[in-house]
Amino acid sequence: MAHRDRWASRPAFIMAAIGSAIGLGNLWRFPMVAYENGGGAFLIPYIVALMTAGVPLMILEYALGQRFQKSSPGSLREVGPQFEMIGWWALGVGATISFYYAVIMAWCWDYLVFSFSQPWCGGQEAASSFFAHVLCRTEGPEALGGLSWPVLVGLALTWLTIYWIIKKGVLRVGKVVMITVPLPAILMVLILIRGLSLPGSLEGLRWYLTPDFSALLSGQTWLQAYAQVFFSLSLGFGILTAYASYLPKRSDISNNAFITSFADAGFAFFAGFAVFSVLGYLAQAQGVPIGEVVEGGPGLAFVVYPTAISLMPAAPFIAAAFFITLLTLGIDSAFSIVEGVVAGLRDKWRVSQNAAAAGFCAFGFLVGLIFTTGAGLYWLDIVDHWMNNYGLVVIGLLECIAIGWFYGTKKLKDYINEVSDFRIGWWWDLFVKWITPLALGWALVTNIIQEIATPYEGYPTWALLAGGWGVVATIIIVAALITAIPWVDRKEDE
Amino acid sequence: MSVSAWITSIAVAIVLYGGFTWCVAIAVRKEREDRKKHEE
Repeated sequence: MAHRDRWASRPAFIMAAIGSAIGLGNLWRFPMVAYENGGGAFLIPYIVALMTAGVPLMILEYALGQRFQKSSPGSLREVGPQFEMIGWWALGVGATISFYYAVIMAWCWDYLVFSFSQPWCGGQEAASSFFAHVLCRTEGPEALGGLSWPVLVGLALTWLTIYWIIKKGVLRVGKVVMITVPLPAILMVLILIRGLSLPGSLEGLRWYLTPDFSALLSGQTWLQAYAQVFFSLSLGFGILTAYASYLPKRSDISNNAFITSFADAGFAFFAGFAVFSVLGYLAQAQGVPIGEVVEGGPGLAFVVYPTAISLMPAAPFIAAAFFITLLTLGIDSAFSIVEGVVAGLRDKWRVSQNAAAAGFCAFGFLVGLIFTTGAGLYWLDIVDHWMNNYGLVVIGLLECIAIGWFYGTKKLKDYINEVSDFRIGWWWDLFVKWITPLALGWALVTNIIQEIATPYEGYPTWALLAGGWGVVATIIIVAALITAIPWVDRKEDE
Repeated sequence: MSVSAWITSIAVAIVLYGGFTWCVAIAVRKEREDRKKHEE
């Protein structure tokens, strides 16, 4: 058999998988989704979604990589040659996400430097500082404007960091995640302690946790729960398959999937306390209802949180802790996506890890330049919406169909039960064949209906066609072309 | 915070952190057993 890189230990693999799953979305997406969908009551559909879609699909992706010892396209090719394209599609979506995810990391680098070099300002000034001075935002996607130099420098730093981490393969990744996974958790505890010591924090938590059980009757709440679980666990990128392919064939699968899923969900739940304690404080300090300060996404990290920090004593240190948290949360998700792509390229063309990593990082930097322009935030928003709603969801759906209806869940389940710490039962077949595809199909149809009814965020149609459907179509075409290219023969290695 | 908020939070914490701890404990026990077998 050809030599394949190996994780140094099982904990190294688990930490890397947890690091990949826990990202910026756990901090800036989950608490807001919970708040908007029934508060504490949202946690019920969230856990149901975790158990009925998240864990089964994660077991599936781990099993594919470990069973066939190949990245996503190679593993799916073993399932059936017609499925190889799904693997390349997954890597294409992952690659596209990495192009703009690196830009968000660049903002974090900039703000880490600003923590000590600039006085912290709040309210309108914080918004203007981010949108006008850092992003140099223009009036719409059609006006590209110039490049934002602080973001450009941050972007270069991000890609250099990713390259340095993955150029030596999973051995170095295994060492890096021993720092980048526990560090943000420790910093979040410190931020939470600081948050809870502030006046108004308990009021914030009340808004986060008070259950509105009537929300459970809304289909939208359940849809959001499935979407959150799916996006958060790094499913559909080909990352988990690539990571698992570096494990020996006799390694555990099911327990690793449960550990990763519980860690990811546990961190998101915990992050909500850190976010809402500070939002409660901010609302009280400004004398406004909490609804007026609640915001998700980049607005939370780069406007709302800095505003709250500006009101606290020792603001530079708290700001630095917060942005180091964001950086360490994001970097292991970013390099895991890139590693997934690099593993696919290596498997197909037998290129070296260093060459594939260097080539992809350079390419990622160049493509990412579009997101450093004044219109970058608009394009980032559009591409992100399409990748999440039409890229990952479709891939998850196709993976379930490929395994559930063509390869056969029993065959894969027998292998999983042979090597795992504990056995999975009939429920896994049920979820992979029926529940998960139905949930993802439902999410897909609902999203398309919404898209037709209301153009996303009021962007012009040409921008949605170019940055949304255009990018999706490009990825599918590239995936089909790569699939058509023959694999480099491996006979000399066998 | 209301009683329902406390109950929901505690139940969720038990499921998530309890589940995590239980799975890690199984993994650690299996690792030890495997190492023991290997040494024998």
